[in-house]
Amino acid sequence: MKLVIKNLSKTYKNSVRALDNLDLEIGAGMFGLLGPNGAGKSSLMRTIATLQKPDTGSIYFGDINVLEQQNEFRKLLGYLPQDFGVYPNMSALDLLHYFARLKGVSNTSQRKEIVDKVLEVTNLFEVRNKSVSGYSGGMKQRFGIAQLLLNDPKLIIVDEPTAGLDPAERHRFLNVLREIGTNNTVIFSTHIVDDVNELCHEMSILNGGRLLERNTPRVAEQKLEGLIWNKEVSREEAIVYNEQLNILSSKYNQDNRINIRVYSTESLQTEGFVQVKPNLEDVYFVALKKD
Amino acid sequence: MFGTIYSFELKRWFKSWVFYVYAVLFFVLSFFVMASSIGVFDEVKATTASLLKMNSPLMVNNIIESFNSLLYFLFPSIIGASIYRDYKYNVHNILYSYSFSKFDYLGGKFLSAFTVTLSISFLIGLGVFLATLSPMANSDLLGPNLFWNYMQVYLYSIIPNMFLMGSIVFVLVTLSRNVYIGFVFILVIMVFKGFVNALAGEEEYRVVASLLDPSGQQAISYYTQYWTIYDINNNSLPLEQWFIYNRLIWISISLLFLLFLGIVFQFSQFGFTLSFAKKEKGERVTKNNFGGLYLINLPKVTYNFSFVQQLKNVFSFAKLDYVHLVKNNVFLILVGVGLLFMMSVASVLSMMYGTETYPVTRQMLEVPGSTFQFFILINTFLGAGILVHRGILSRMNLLIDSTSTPNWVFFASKFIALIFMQFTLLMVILFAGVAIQAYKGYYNFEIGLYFKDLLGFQWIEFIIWALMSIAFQSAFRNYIVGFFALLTMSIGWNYISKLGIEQLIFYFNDLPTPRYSDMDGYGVGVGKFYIYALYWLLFVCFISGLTLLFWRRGGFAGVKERFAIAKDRATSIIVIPTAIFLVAFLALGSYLYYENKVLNVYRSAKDIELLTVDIEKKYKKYEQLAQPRIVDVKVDMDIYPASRDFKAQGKYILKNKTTQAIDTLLINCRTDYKNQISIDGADLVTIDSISGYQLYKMRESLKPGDAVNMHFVVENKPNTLIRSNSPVLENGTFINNGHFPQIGYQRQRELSDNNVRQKYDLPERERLADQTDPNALANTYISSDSDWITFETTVSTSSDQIAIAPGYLEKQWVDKDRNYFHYKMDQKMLNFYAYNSAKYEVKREKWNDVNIEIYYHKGHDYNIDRMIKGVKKSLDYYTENFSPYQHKQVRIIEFPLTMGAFAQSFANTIPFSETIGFIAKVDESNNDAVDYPFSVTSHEVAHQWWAHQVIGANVKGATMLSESLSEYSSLKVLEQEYGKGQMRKFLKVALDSYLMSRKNESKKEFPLMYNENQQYIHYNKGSVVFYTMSDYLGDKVFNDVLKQYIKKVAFQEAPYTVAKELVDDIYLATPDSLKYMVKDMFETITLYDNYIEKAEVKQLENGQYEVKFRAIVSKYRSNDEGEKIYDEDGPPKIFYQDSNGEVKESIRLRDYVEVGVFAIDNKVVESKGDAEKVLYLQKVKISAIENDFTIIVDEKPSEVGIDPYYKLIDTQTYDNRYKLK
Repeated sequence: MKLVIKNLSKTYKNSVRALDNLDLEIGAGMFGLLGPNGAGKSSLMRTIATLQKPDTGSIYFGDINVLEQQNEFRKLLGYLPQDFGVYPNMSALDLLHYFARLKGVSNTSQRKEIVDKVLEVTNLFEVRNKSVSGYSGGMKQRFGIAQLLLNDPKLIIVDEPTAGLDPAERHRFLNVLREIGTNNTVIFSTHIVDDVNELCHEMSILNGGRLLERNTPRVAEQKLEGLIWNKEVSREEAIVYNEQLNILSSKYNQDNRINIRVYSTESLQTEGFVQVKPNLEDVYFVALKKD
Repeated sequence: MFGTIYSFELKRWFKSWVFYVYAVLFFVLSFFVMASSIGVFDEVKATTASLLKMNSPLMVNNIIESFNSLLYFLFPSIIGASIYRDYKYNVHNILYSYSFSKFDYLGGKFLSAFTVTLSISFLIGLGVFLATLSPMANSDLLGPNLFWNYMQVYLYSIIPNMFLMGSIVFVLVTLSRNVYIGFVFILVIMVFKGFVNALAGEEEYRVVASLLDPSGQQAISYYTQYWTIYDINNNSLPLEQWFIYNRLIWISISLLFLLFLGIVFQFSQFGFTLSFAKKEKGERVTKNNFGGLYLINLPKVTYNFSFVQQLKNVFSFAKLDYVHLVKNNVFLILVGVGLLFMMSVASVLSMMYGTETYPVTRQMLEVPGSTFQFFILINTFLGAGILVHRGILSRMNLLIDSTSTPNWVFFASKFIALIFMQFTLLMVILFAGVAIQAYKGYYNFEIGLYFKDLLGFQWIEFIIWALMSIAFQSAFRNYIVGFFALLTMSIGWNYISKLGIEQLIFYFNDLPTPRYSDMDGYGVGVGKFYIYALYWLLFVCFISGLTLLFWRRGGFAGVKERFAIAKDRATSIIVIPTAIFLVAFLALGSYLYYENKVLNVYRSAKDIELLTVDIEKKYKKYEQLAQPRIVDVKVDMDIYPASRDFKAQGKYILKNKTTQAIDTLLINCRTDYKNQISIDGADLVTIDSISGYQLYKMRESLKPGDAVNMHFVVENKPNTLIRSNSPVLENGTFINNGHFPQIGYQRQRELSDNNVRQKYDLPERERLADQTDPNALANTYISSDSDWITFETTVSTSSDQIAIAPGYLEKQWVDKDRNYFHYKMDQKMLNFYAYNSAKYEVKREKWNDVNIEIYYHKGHDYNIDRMIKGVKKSLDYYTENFSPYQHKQVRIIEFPLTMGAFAQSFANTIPFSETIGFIAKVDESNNDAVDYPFSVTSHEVAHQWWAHQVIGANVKGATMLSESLSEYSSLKVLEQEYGKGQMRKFLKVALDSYLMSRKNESKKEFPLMYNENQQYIHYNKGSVVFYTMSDYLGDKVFNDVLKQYIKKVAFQEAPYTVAKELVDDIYLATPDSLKYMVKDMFETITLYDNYIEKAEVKQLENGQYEVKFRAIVSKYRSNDEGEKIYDEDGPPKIFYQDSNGEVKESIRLRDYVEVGVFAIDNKVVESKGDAEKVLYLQKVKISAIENDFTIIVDEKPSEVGIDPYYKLIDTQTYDNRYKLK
C-alpha cells in the first residue's frame, strides 16, 4: 500500500510554518527522512500518525483517508515517537499486555503469545518483569519497537529512534527495523546521515517544511560525482576559503588542521583541492545549502 | 544571587496569565460576597439585616480567613512547585552546577512564591474593602472604615497562617518532588481543623483547641466566644495569651520545617529519600547482547474491535486506572487520616450536656458528615485530573493515542475507575462506622442502611461530580488548574443565592438528600431526590458528550484547532445522544420550573418579604377589631399515612367575650391547604387567597355573651413525587392546630427587623408588647383567638398505627380497616393541641392514680424507664411544692427527627423527638454527664404547670413564666435525684450557652423579665437565675412564692399575668440584704467578672492548713447591644489596680458571693463520682473588688474558688477556681 500525501501545510500558533505545501508518495520499504533539527520532521510524522491536524492537505494510505478514517488507519499504524515515557512502576509485560488490548488483541492466549514474541524479538524477555521506567535508553527504544509490533502494522513511523543510543544498541535497533521494513512501509526520520545510508533504499531531505531532495541514497551520491573537493588547511586559510567557496563541511583533524569539503562545479585542482567521492553527507549539505 | 532568583521568579509569575486569573477570581469573589453581606444586592434579594458591622476586625477576619483557606489549595502549585518546576523541566541539572548558596536558592524560591500568594491574598482584602465603598451598601451594616481593621487581620491571622501553610508545603513538595503531597498536606490540615473544631465544642477543651488550631481561629474564638454585638463591632482582634502562644508555636513549627529543609536539601540529581531499610549491595551492570540478527515472524493473531470487546477493555483499563489511584501511599495516608478523624469526632459530636448517644447507624452516617464528603469530593477532583492527564504526565500519551482504541473507551474506563475510588472511600465510612459501633459495644449493625445511604444517595451525588470533574479536567491542560476550577465552582456556585436566584434547579448537583429517621426511614423526600439526581445526571451526560468531542488526544495548537477537531468528531453517534441528553435535561428542568413556579406558587425570599409588607399594610387595620374567641373545639381528624394525606373537619364555638356587638369576622387560613369555612349566620365578604385572610359579615351582629358555630374542613392538596403538600409522614405524623383556621389578625406574621421595616415605610415595632399594654394583656402568648377551651376529637389512622391527641381515650374502634380513637378532655385547656400517629410500642405505668404512658418506636427502649422515673419524680416534686396536677394522665410520644429535635408539652400529652433522649447513653456515675432523658422529661412535665396552669400574657417576659420556670423546676428534680454534681455541669453549660448566644441577637438583648421569647435568655440565663435565687433565698421560701403565685393566677382569664407580677412577689420574699439581686438578675442585664488572683496554702503546727487567697469580684451592667456600663445612677463606681498595673472597674458592690475551699477525695476520682469534698463554703458579703481571705481548714485543700458553682452570671467561669500547689 502506498502512502500519498498532498498539499500538506501546518502553521503553528507562534507562526512557524512547520509544513509547507508538502507532497510525498511512499511505497513499501524503508524510507529515510533526513533533516536538521526543527525541519518539520516530527510535525510531519505526528500528522501522519493522526496525532495532529494539518491546516490543509490530504493523506491517503491505500484507500484509507487518514485524516478522516483515523481509527481505520490506526489499526495499520505503528508509531514510535521521538520522545516518550511510560506509566511508572509498570513492567514491560504488563505494559505490553495493555498495549495489546489497546490495539485490539482480544484473545488472552493470543495476547500472551504475541507479547512474548515481541519481547523475544526485541531481546527484552529477560527483563520483562522489570519496570520500564527504569530501563536504559536503548532498552526503552526497543520497548518502543516491541509495542509498535503488536498490531502487525503496515505503516511504521519511527521518529529519530537512534538518537542517544550506543553503537551496539544502534545496530541492534537498525537490524530489527530493517527486518520489519522488508514487507511494510517504514518512515524513518533522523538527522544522522549514516542511518539512512545503512538502512534506507529511499530518502528525502526535509527543511523548513519542504522536501528538498527525493532519491535513493546511491543515486543521490552519484549525482554529485566530480563536484566535491577536499583540502587540508589551517584555520586562517579556512576562514579565507569560507568567503570564496561553498564549503559543505569543515572538520578538525588530529593535527589541529582542518579538512574542508567544498562543492564546486569548477575544478579546484589548481587551488590544491583533491576531488573526492561524494558521500550522503555531501548530498545532505548540498541540499540544505541550496535551500 | 538571592535577589536575582527572587526577582526572576516574581517576574515569571507576574507575566503569567494564570496569576491574573487567580487574582481576578479571588478579588471578584471576595468583593461579591462582602457586597452581598452589606446589602448591595438588596434590590433583587431579601433584605440583608444584622446588628453586626460587617467591616469590624472580627468580621473582616472571618471573611478573609475563609477565602484564604481556599487560597491554600493553590499553594502546592505556586509555592510547592517553585523548586519542583526545576526538576520537572530538568533545569536542575544545569542550575545545580552553578555557584549559589542553598539560602539564595531556597530563600529566593520560597519568598518569591510566598510573595505571589500574598499578593493574591491582599487582593481578597482589597476586594472586601472596595465592596464597602459601594454606594448601594447599607450604611447600617458598616462601621467606620479603618485601615487598621484590615491590617491587624493580616498581621495576626492571615500572614502567619500563610507562612505556616506555605513553608510546610514548600518543604514537603521540594523534598518529595511531588506536588500531590502538597495537596495531601492541605487536606490533612483541613481534617485536623475539623477535629479541633469538634474538640472546642466542649468547654474544658477550648484552651487546648486554641493552641492546636494551626489557623489560630480557635484561639480568637476563645477570647471572642462571649463577645457581644457591641464588642464585635468595636473591639480589635484579641492579641492575648493563648492567641500569642498559638502564633508562636505554629511559626516555630514552620521555621523548624524550613530549617530542616536547609539542612537536608542538596543540589543533587535525585530527590531526598528517607529510608530505614539497608541498601542492598548493588550489582555491576555490564552489557553483553551485542549484535544478533532476528527473523521476525510474528504469530498470527486476530484483531477484534467489536463493541463487546471494547466494553471488556473498558473494565480492564478501568482496573488499571483504579489501581493507579488507590494503590499508592498518598491515597492510603489520606484514608488513614480520614479514619482517624471519624474515630475521634464520633465520640464528641453527639454530646449533649456531657452525655453521648448510642452509636446508632443513622448517627454513624451523620457524624463523618460534611468533612468526609468534602474529602471524597477533593479526591474526585484530583483523581479525575490524574487519570485524564495520566498519559501526558507520564509522556506515554503519544503511544496510547496512536492506537486504534476509540476515545469513548478511555473516557468510560477513567470514569469507572474514578467512581470505584469513590466507592472505596464510601466503604471506608462503612467499615469505620461498624468498627466504632463494635468498639462501643453496640452490635446492631444496620448494614442495609449503610449501603442504602452511602450507595443509594451519596454515591449518586459523587458520580455526577465524577463526570463533571472529567469534563473540567479534560478542558484544562494543567490538572492543578482543573482542580482549582472545580473547587471554585463547587464552592462558588452557591453564591448565586446572593443574587436572589433561589430555585433548586439552578444549583448544580445540590441534591435534596432526605434525612434518615429510625421511625420514618428516608420518608417523603426520596422521590424528589431521585428526580433532581436524574436532572443533574442528564446535564452531566450532556457535558460528557461534549467531553468526548473535545477529548484530549494527540496535540493541538489553540482553541480554534480544538474546535476544528471536535467538529470532525461530531458524528451522529455522539451528537444525537448528546443532543437528547440536553433536550431531556432542559425538558426536565422546564418541567420542574413549571411545577415550582406555575403549577404552584413559588416565592423567593424577596417575594415573601414584599408580600409580608403588603399583608401588613392591608390587614393591620383589623388588629384592634373586636373578635369572638374560640371556646370549644371539636375536630374529626383523618390521617392517611400511606398517601400522606390528612383531612380535618372541625367545629369551633366562637363566643363574643367583649362588651360590644360584633358584625365582622376575620378568619386566617393556611394558603397551602384546601380550606372550607362556614359560619352560622354569616356571609363571606372577601377571600384573599394570597394572604389567607377571609372576611365574614354577620347577618345579625353577635351580641356580647352570644356564641356562634364555625365549621371548617382543612385538607392538603395531593402530594406529588417532587412536592410534599402535607405534614403527614408514613410513620410518625406530628401535626398541631397551627394548621387549622385562626380568628383575627395575626401579628406574628409581620416583618420583625426594624431596618427592613423602615425600608418599606412600616413603623418600628418590637417583637412583643410592654407588660402594661392592655390589648396585649388580653391574650396569652400561645394564642390570640382564644382563652381556655373545651376539647374533643376523633382521630383516625391506618390499621397498623396508633393516633394520639390531648384528652382521654373515650372509645376506640376499627372501621373499614382504619383505627379510630375518640379523645375528650375533661376540663378546660389552652387552644393548643397536636396529633401524633405512628406504629408505636407502648409502656404503661402508674403514679398514684395518674396513668403514665410512653409511646415509642420499636427498638428505642433504652431510656423508657428513665423517662417514667422522670415523670414520677416530677409529679412528686411539683405536686408537693407547686399545686396538684390537673390531669390524670401523662403521655410521652416519640416523633421522627424530620419534624424537629425538641419536646413539646400539650395538655397531658408530650410529643418528644427521637433524637433527644430516646437514644441517649446515660452514664449515671459520671458527674459531668447530665441524664437529659430524665431532665427533658421533667422540664416538659413542668410545663403542665408552667404554661398549662400559669400562662403569661402575650407581652415581654411571658416565656420567663413558662420556659425559665420549667427549667428551674426540672433542675430541682434533677438535683433531688442526682445531687449537686450534675447541677454544676448543667449550669455551666447553660451559662456558656447564654454567653455564647448574646452575639447572635438580631434586635436587642433584654433582661430576663422583659425577654421577647429569646431562647438564650429564657432557657439558659433563666435556669441560672432561678436556680440561684432559690439557692440564695432557700428552696422552701422560693417554692412558697411560686406556690402562692400559682394559687393567684392559675387558669385565670384575661388580663393574664405578667413576669413583673412574679418578680414583685419574689422581691417581697427577698431579705433586704439580697434585694439588689432582684435588680441584677431579673430587671437588668448584669454580669460579673470574678476570679482568684492568687492563692497559697501552708500547713500549721497543729496539723491544720491555712489558705490565703485574693478573690477579685467586679460587676457591670450591659445595654441591649452588650456594651459594658459601669456608671449608673446612684453610688459611684469603684476601682482596683492589680499587680500588672491594670485597672479594674465595677459598679458598687454589696453582694453576697460564695467562697469555697475544696479537697479532692481520691477514692471517688476513679469512679468519676463527685470527688469534691467541701472543706469550707460560705456566702460572703463583698464590697470591694479585691478581697483577701485567710481560711483555716482541717484537711489538705486542693482548690479554692470564688463563686465556685457558677451561680452568678459570670463572663469567664474557668478562672473562678484556682488549683493550689
